Amino acid sequence: MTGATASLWPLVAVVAPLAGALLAALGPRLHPRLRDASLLTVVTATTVVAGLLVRGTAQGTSYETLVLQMTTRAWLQLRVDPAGAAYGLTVSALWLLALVYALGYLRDDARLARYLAFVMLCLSCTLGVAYAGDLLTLLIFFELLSVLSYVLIVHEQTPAALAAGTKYIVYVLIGGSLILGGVLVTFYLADTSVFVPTGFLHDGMPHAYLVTAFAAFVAGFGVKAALVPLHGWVPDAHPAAPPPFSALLSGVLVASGGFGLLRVLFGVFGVELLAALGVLPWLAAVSAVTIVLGAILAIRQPDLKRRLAYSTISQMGYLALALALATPATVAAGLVHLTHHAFLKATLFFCAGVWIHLLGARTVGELRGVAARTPVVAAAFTLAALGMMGTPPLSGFVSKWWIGTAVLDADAAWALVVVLLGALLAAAYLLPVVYTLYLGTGPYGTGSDGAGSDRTGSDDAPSARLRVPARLVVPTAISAALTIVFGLASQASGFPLALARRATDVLFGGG
Amino acid sequence: MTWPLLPVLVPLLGTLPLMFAGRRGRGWVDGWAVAATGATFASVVAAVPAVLREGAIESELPAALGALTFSLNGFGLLVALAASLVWWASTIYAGPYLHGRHERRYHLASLASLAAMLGVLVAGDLITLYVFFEWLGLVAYLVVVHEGGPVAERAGLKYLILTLLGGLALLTGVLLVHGLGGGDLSSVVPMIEGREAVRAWAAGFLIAGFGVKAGLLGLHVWLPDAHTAAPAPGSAILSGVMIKAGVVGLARTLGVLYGAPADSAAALEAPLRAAASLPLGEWLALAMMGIGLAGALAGAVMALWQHEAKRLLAYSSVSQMGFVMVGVGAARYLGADGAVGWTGAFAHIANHAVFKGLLFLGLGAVVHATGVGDLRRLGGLARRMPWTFAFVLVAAAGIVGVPGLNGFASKSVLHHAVADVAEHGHAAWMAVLEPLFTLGTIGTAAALVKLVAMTFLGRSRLDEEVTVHPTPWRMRGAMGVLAVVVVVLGVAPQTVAPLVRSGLASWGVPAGDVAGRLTGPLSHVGDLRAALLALVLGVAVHAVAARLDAYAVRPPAWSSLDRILVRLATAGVHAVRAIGHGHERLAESVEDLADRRITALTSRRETTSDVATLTSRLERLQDRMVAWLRRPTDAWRDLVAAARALVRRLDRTRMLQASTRTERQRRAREAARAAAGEAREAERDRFVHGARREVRRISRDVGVAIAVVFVVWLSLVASLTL
Repeated sequence: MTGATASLWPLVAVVAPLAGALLAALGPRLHPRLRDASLLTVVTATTVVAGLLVRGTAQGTSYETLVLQMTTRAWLQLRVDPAGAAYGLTVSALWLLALVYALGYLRDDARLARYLAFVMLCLSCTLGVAYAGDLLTLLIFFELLSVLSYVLIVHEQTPAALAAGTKYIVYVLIGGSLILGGVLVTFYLADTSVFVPTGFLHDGMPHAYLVTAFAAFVAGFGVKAALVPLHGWVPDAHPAAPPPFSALLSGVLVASGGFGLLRVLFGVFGVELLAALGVLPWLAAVSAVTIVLGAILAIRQPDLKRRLAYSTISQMGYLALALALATPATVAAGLVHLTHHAFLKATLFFCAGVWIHLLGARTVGELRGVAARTPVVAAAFTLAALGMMGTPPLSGFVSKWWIGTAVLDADAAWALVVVLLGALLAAAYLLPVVYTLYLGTGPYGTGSDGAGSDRTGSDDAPSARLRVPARLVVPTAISAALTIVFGLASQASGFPLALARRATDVLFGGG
Repeated sequence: MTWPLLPVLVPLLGTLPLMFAGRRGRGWVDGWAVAATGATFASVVAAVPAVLREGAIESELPAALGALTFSLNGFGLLVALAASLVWWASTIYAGPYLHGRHERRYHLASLASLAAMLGVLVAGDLITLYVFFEWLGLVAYLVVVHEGGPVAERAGLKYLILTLLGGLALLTGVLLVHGLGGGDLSSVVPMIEGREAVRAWAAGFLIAGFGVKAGLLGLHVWLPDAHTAAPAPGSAILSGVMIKAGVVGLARTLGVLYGAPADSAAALEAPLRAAASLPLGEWLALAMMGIGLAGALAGAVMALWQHEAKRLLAYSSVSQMGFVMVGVGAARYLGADGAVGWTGAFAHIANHAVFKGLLFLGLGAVVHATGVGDLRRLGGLARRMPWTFAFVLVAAAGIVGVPGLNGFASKSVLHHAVADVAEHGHAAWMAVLEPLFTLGTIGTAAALVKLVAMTFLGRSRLDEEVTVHPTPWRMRGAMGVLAVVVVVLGVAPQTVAPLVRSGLASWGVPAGDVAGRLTGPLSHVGDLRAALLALVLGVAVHAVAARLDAYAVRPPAWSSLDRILVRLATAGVHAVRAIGHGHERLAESVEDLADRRITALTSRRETTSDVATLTSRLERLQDRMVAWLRRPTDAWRDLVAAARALVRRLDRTRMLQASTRTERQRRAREAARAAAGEAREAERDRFVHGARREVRRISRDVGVAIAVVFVVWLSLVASLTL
């Protein structure tokens, strides 16, 4: 591996959103359009920097920034390798879309300034997680992210939101303590915490400590990554949070737990050590249960956002399963799935948000026939649902295909059964919503039976088309279009697959 | 050359205007759909010379997992011709039949399905096939549920579940084949040492995946409900064309992916000791023949017992696809001598598309005219609907295999294939294949005789108030086109020979005399005798059953495969619900426990224990500390307030204050309006405010301009006069 170049770009990417946070915090002093423009500029700039980092890492350079020294042996440092760069770009791009959406959704909200400030802070912390170069930095940014997200989850300050927020913070603080415990054990064992491609813990260390550290890390990151049975906060937090943040939560913040797990498994432990410890089958079993249970619980959930939250639990299980199988092909497939799922889930949440905002429709039953009133949004939802199910040639199919081939290569046929079962259950919880949108009839629908409503000239008021604000529709359409693009052009360079392959090359040692 | 892609692109492009059609002015939808399907048929026909000249035409599209490859060979083109013709006829028919009921949705689904269907036929590798196969399954759902209502929804649900399961099985098969290094639909799946089991499993999954679509016995349960619930033109394309996608997939699996090496004829010289000792391909072939025969027989019997016309035809489709599967199995078993089997199978696929399509269109015309679909309440329509009667009679004769119509040639060739297997197979039990085949043909004949007799012949059992509406000429025209094809292919079956020969060549099977094989039955006494025997016995069976009122006997409920599967599905749904409930209860109890513990820890109790006093003393100390710590913050706040007051006093121009005051006033006004729920007022206010600002700015600019002009004028005047 080529040596790390000292560079300020990672720091720029992490710190730039802080400027945005300050701007947002000025609140009513600033003219709304000026504030919107400056925030969008900041996030676009961050995305561009993340893109440049991706391009650089794809060519083999890795960027390093030593930020500040915290103890005699621990530095706060950022190091960008292909995996982190790919995750960072996904985060920034999705954040940009979610910001545009939030500016449209929360336009008349009195607490918009608070939302924007904290969302910028969370972007900064998430990029810190993505670009963290050692365990301590990862822990710091991870904890900050978890705590700052609380404010966004309880944004609406209804009793339900506050209850969900309390649940979230309890779960996440316990998880954080577990991670801290793991970090302490690691420091005790190895005296260093910088991520090394093949892991810096080795077999000679006492196995009891190693297994304890592993369990602590898995449980700690697993809370964020929604592994069963630590997933309890997810179904309450997602409906409670405002839709722009739910999209981010599901798309990239739950994935940050998975990403942290990736860093720990491959940067701290290393594949040989994990195989020697024999702990990976447990993680694989837990992820398999997560996939199946999350999907089963999603079926028949009346509240749409809750249904999508359980879907996130299930889909993030795929990432954990890919990590547990620990071959280059499976990990690459997992990373591809992370990116594809981020945009798929964001599309679904954006659509749900549009219907909540314009129609007050929170449950699937209230969405009967809504497709006639919001055709573009409904089409985006259908595309994303089909993608999530794994219909070719959309992006979900591509990631499921790579997971499938990788799993078969790793001789884990049972995992293939779990993957396919997850896809079947995804159809079971998403297709009924699509059906209700188009073919259902009801208060917002077009008629009471199939005949008669298609004749020219019929134009009853309840079925009139709604004007969806551009700021809500454009991000939805863009992320739905990305589904198609990622699916059709998946083999092109610069797309998730190529990046993921590069990332696993580095993670498994070697350039 | 993009010949393979053109038939797929034409209907796909045709869907675009339909997708963006507005709510009004939808009269053009019908004509557009007819034009699009006609253009598709034309593009398929236009590809014939190219395929005959070059064999298989390949094409590639970089997309998805690398590249989607397309390969159009003789077999695919033959099926595509039949498919696009039937589709076109059914679209012509659909206009008057649907009569404006959700036409746009129907034609959108129909065109998209056509594109997907042709994509399946021209796919060059398994991934491309899978992509189009999935889309076909999903889009056809819209055709199934078109009529709406609980029956259609139930049928659609059953269809969707089985299609999804079949799709997953197919995906598993494709993944396994790719894992073995195969995937190209023009070469055999590699045989790797130690992974024979994987190869066998892959074959099983592929067959299951295609079999769901093809109506393989056991996986066919969706078919009767779906084809009955769809509108008649929809049923024509579902039964006439779409199930062929599955059968062609099966044929390709057995013929190419697990195909015979060129010299396999030698392998058949040795006597067959045990089926288990057969190599995988031959074993699969025998299994397919067995399942095919079972399907042919069971389908025919079940068809015979139906009293709903469309359901009878649906079961008949299951039966006919069984016949095709027998042909496919026989062809594979015979290996290098298999040309007779492939010829029969593909010819029958094409023929069946045409006459099954025509049958559905005809029965649909009956339903359209009388509103009745139950055979027990029809009858004697021959005189009142002569055209429909003629067309249905032609189609029924075709499917039964009356000499002179297209079914006769293909059925006879299939019969020859089965006879060849029995002859070369060297196993004693294979002698039973031929009689079973003949039994199947008799059953088919009986079912179709029942259909025609009870619908058109005899005395009318229609209710008094049912009026027989005349059939629109467009519907008659569509049926007429298909009837003509049935007759033409019957009189001259060698028309399809060039395409079959081309297909056999591209599959590496020695072709022999294809044309002769197809025309042979027309003059072969044995075939003629067999066909007429089947017809006569079929009539006899129907007559006896009708006389003995055997049709009223229902099979026992426990034998219904449908019921078993519905029970399984309901059990699954209950299990899901139970898991959901259990999880909710578990989560709630954990939360309750946590809540109780937390309240126990944090609640203040009025006990006089030492712990309580200590806690309260600590709390008081805490309060005092907090108050003390607050002092600097309070001081800071006072300082800030004093500074603000100072600034305000210094601010003579009152600029800062004014802006914040107006800002505050405006915000207060807006808040008040929002509270009162008058968002429009606030909007108007904002607009007015903005407009005022604009006006002020413009007037300022105008004033500045006027001032400048005045100054210039003044200076000019001054310079001139001074």
